[in-house]
Amino acid sequence: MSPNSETLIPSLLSEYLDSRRGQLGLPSAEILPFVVAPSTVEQLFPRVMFVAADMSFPHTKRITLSITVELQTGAETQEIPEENIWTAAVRHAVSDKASFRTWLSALPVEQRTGYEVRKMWAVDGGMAVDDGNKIRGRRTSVNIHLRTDELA
Amino acid sequence: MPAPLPVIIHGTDDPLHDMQDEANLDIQEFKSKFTRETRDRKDGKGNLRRRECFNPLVAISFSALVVTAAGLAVQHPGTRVTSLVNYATEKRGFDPAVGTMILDDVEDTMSLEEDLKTSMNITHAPFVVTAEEGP
Repeated sequence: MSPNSETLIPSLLSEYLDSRRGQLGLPSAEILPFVVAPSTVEQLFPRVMFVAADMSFPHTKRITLSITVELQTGAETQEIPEENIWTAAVRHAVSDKASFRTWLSALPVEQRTGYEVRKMWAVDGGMAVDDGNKIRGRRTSVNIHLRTDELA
Repeated sequence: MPAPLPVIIHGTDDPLHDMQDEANLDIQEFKSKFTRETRDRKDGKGNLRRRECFNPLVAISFSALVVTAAGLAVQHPGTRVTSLVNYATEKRGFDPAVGTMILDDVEDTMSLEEDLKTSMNITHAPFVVTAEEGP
């Protein structure tokens, strides 16, 4: 599936976070995979999901994406001692606009998007248990404001 | 990241309905209010018998996201506005090339959610033929 903005930007955010695993004390992708929705990856826990929950267009050249970044664990089967540390690491990374922009600017031209990231901020977060799917989620909502001429 | 890609446009703007961006500003809303003052004459029973409409003005207001700190985005209030893309030709009998457009109040707003946002009011006075003179 070729990406559009609601999959591309969450994907870039996950790749950025992946680049900081060692620095933030997050385990390898085998232990804690990052999954960008929509994905055919089967449900393996723990994992970090990246989902564009909402898009708004405050101007024809601008997009504000609300991206949910959620550390998910099996609510009934998993007790992970590092869960709070991982949650804090994820929140720290997605709140760090300067590092995200530095990482983006270092990408090779063919991986860049043409979008210009103007704003990035963590809006809110929380913990929730989904009894139906037996998932415990540690959510952080991140808004990313982009400007592009491609939508004009 | 690279500069945003230039857009390839087919077709033309509809000047009646399409709002356009001003230089350095991503326009979100643009309003023009065409006004005249009125002076009423009433008869001895208080009934309106004559209305004089004079002093035609255009009150322009718009809000925009600032792209670059230049031009209107940083212009000083009270100074002359030389041109507006969204008011480039005659509207309701007002010709922007006649008289003077004066930048009135400007309000800049910074927020977490968006880039620097500005809203400004401009008065077009068709009978002010020389701008920025003292009394």
